[in-house]
Amino acid sequence: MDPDGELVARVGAGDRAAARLLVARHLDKLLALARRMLGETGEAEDAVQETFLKLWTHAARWQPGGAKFETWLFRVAINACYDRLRKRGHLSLDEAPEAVDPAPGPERALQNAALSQAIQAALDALPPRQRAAILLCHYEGRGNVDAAEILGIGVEAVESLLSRGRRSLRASLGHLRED
Amino acid sequence: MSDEELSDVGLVALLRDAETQDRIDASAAAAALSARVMADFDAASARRSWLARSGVFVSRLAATTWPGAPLWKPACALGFSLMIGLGVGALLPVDNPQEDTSFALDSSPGLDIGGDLR
Repeated sequence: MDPDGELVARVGAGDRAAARLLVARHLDKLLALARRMLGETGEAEDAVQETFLKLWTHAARWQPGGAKFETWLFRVAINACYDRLRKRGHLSLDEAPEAVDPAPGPERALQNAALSQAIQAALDALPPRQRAAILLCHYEGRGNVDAAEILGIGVEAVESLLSRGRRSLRASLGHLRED
Repeated sequence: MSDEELSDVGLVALLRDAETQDRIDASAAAAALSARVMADFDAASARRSWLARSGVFVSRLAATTWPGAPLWKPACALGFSLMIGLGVGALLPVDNPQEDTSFALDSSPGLDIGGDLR
């Protein structure tokens, strides 16, 4: 049973309170994910706003028996992030961007902000598809099946993306090993 | 795995901690974004209610012109009559516009409005 199904139906009928509840339930997660995907707050906020705008325009046509709502919402958000990454550097989704030096030094890594920066730098160095798979499974804590549905690919493809992504992250975040 | 690498468990723990921290940071920024998102909802609702009102108006108009008939019947009748009108309009012979132009250029005006005023 989809916990959001009833709320989405109410949103489709123009219920503002239901819309507010959906925003309260999902906005933080989507914003955190978009920030890690894009590495930039302003663009992440735009991507999340675009995601909810799609929800407002499609809610009336929502079919309760189909995909889980949250899966659909995350798919829209990930696609909004992909669009921005493509526009930013004309990157293909499987191509790694320019390598960024992730080493902030062990003493700075003790601080939260520096740790967060190091993780972001390591994530930014991953190709967008690997980054999305890593974020959905190891950051968001979703299962591989759920992530595959969100990314619109097979479970084996997700496992392959995760394996390659983990290998790169393990190497680039190796300096945090002792913390 | 080299000595410089994290274990998978360590990596996942690192990412989960980052997510927890990010969620805290995101909730601080979420208030302003939430207002923008709800403004979008209000705009979308207003647009939808305008469309709904237009739909009701069309339905009522159709019920008045052709009571009891489903909406597609008056819509088809309107479309069909428009097609005939446009077809006839396109096929009817028209006067040569060249003649009208030469007449306008060669002839002097029959009525001098300015002269009447003077």
